[in-house]
Amino acid sequence: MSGNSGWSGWSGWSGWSGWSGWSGWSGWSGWSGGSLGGLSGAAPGNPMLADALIRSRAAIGSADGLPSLRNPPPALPVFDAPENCARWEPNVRFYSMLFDILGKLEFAGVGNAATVQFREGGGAAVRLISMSRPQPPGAARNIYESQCNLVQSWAALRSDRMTEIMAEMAPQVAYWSAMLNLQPQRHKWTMELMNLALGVAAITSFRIKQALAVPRPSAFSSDIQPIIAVPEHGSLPSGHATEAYAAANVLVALAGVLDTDLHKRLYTQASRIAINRTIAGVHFPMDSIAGKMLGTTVAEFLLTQAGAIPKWKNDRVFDGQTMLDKDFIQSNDHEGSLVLALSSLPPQPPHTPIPPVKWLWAEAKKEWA
Amino acid sequence: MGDDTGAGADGGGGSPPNERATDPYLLWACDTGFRHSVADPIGDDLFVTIIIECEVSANDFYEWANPKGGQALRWVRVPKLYNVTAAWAKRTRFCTAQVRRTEVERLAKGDVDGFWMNVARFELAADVSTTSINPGDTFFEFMGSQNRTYAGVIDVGIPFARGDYRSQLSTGSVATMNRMVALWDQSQLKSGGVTSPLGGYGREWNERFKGQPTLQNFTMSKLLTGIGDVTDEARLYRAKQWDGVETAASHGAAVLGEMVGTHDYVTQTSHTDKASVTPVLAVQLPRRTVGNSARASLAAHVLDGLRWMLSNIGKTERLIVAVSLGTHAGPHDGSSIIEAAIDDLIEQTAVNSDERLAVVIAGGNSRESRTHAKFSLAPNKTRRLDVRVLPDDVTPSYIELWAPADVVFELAVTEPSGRRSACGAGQAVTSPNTGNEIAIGIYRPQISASGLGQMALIAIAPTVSGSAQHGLYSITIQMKTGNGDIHAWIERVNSMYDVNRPRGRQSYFVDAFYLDAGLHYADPVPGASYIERDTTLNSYATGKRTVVVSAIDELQGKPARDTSSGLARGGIHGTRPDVAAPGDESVWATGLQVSGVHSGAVARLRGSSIAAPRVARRLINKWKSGTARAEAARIAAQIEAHKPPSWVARPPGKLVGSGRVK
Repeated sequence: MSGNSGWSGWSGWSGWSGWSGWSGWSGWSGWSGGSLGGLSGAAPGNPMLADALIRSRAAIGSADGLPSLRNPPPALPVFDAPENCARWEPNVRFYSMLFDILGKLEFAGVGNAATVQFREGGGAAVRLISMSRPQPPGAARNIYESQCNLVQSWAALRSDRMTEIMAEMAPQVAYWSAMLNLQPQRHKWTMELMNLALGVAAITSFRIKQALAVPRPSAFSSDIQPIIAVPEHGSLPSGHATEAYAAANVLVALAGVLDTDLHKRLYTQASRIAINRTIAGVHFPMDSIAGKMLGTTVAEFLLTQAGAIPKWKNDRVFDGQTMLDKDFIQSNDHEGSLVLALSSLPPQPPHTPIPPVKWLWAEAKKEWA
Repeated sequence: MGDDTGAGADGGGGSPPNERATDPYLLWACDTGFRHSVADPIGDDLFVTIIIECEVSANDFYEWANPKGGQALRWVRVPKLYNVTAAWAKRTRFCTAQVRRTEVERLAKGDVDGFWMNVARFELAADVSTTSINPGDTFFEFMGSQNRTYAGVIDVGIPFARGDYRSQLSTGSVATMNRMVALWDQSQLKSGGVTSPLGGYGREWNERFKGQPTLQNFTMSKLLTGIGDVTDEARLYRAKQWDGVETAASHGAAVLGEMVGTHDYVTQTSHTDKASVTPVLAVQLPRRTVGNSARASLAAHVLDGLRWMLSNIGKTERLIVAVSLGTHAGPHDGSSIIEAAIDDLIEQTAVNSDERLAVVIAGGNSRESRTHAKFSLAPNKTRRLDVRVLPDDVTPSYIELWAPADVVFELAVTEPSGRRSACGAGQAVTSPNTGNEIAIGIYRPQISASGLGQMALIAIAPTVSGSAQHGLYSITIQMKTGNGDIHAWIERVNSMYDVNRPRGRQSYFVDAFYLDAGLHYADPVPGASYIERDTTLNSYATGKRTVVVSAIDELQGKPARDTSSGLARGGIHGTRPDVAAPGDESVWATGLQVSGVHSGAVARLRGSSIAAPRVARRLINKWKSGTARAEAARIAAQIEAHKPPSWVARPPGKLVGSGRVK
């Protein structure tokens, strides 16, 4: 009855790139003030409430013990209709849509490259993105050494950025809200769409992290000494960068601000979130370069599954071998995302938008009318 | 006369190009399209301010640019400040000017219209003008004399409407509502006031405009008409788009209050001294001058400001000015253009051996900033300096290397990526980033306009957009012939006080042997590290005639941990600072209570910025003859002789000069 506060067990998912799952969304505590006023504040499995309901049912229930059925009975919703989503709680919608999306993705590891590809209905695989890690340490002037030097240099800004770093350990809902004037009730479908984007981004990045298995900067140098707990998964790509750019791109499309100042600001915000992880000492700059590429691709892919854009840019490749001295700096550069998605590209196999995702997109879009 | 397109022939006039003093910062600006040197994107038609040491006199330079009976040169504009008729003005040799960009680039390597016949050296003062100096027809020069002493301040956030400066003067023969006699806001693109007749830019209100047909609506009285209570002050500042007074505290309010305010925050009573009724002349600096010290426009504004103030007092009247701003780099021997210019003004305005102008300079708070290095090198020996350049820095980093004129050394710079650039004497070398934008420049002109000796400038572009790498840069110096001390300073490139958004991040030297000094005055192991705490004075603080003030705490008289330490490079012009004054209450209670922006407001500020105006106040009250430096030393010696019981024994001269002032 107390709804989502019962899901606080999901905060165990804080391992997802520091994503504290549902507990970070104060909007879900809306049950505490919800229309079921009598149940406000009621915890799940409340013995007193259960006892009261037993007694009440005994007092006012059917005299002969048989259930009195409603006449007419409730209509059965249409099988697998996307509109059914409106009936369920947010978690159920999330998992259901995530299942459908991930069902179209597969992983292929070839040599040193981790590739995520799309396949629908037994058709040919189409690459989403491919990533490879830098050569192993040991060569003169190796890439990891150069990246460590950059992490060390960025550490000079730790005092400046400490509060941001710590606030950004949770999903950066507050940041997008501040930028776009998001409000939990007025933009509830937007919030769900963002959650879905973060989920797809996180899972995709985790699969690639597992393959590339790049250690964190602190594994290479005892001078790094990160100021937050080092997540227990690979460094490349950065989950924060992936999610930040996925979110930025989805918001740009949703709010209809492509190629405007706001587009640039959202990207700048995403880049700052990514850099803060380097400043904290838990990522190399190259992780953010890769995360930006991946997040942008994930967003484009998600939007195709929502029927919002016709195609995604399918030839992005992150080559770790080219990352010597490569830094990631704050910028509003958007790598042609979405713009190119809407222009002519090499043909890609047809795909079918996923109905529930398309439904969610439509509901969210209405919030921006 | 002059070619109004500025298309005069190169070469000819003055010394040949390779014998002229050249400003390394100008060479950097030319190489980078002025991108990192000025506030606004600069087109060919915009004018850039420069500060000049003239061959003969500022007046001669003015008349070269504005020949009588001829057409004024269109590519150079000189404020009328440098054409006033006062006898002292005719003798001065320093001025500022605005020069069109195309010509200033040509002047870096050649001549235009005989410019170098009239100029010994000039430096970029890096203020770009979107509305260039307007010579106009108005010319106003104050010719009166009432044998008074004036207080002057050059700062930002000047609270001209504060009650202290609106009280009726109780002394003097001129009755006025305002102690603040004249006010010059050097900011551009603001409305209200009249373009300063002498300055030619900014806007001015001046009580002396009374009775002048075209200026009489711009008196201080008119400016302050209708002021009632404190809310009216805020409304007036907003109406006049006055910068730096939006917050409760401002640097200018604190400095002015210490110097001439009416409330004594030590005794919490009203001041009754001469300074509390002294008339005031105030110059408000442009916000971007203090917002980005890397652009070095402060020098030009200070010189213009001093000239303007002197042009507003009688020829025998006295002026004490507090300048509590400054930078880090420079020759530190009084030979910089601005130091020489201030000395020149003080000298030329003196009457016999009695100075009339005192310029009291804050020594700075850079002792612990790791922005000064010093070492000696024997022939064939090498020294490496490491500089940490921070990420996300919107300002360039500048390192000035100073060596005696007669030594020969090799210089190379290694970037964090390992790329190395060497630069020989008399050369300039630039190194691009991956996008072909210049990342670093090394400039070693044969003769530097910045001062005496050899100066090598290492300029590193901002790191915020990837123009240059952040990380550790190594500077390697190998001595070939000669001996001597080599100094290096990293220029101040952060925001000075009063600016909302931080603009830069300060680079600093790195050395494993640099030790924390704790509560000691000296480096724990002298000479162990090339990073040196001495000679960290403000760039403006080693001239011959200025009064330089360092900071102590009020309770124990101990030097503030970060107060800049003397010596001058080469020991020229004596030990500095001259005296010390409180900048903190005690070692545990930092800062002092000072005037806030609005009437009755109290704020807290610390450092030599506050110490300097306190000494200026003493001079206002006591100084009657001789030099200001001698007077300051005399006052300090007197106080030291009867120092408060809580004060410790007098610290070394390089920290407190001749002594401490309460």
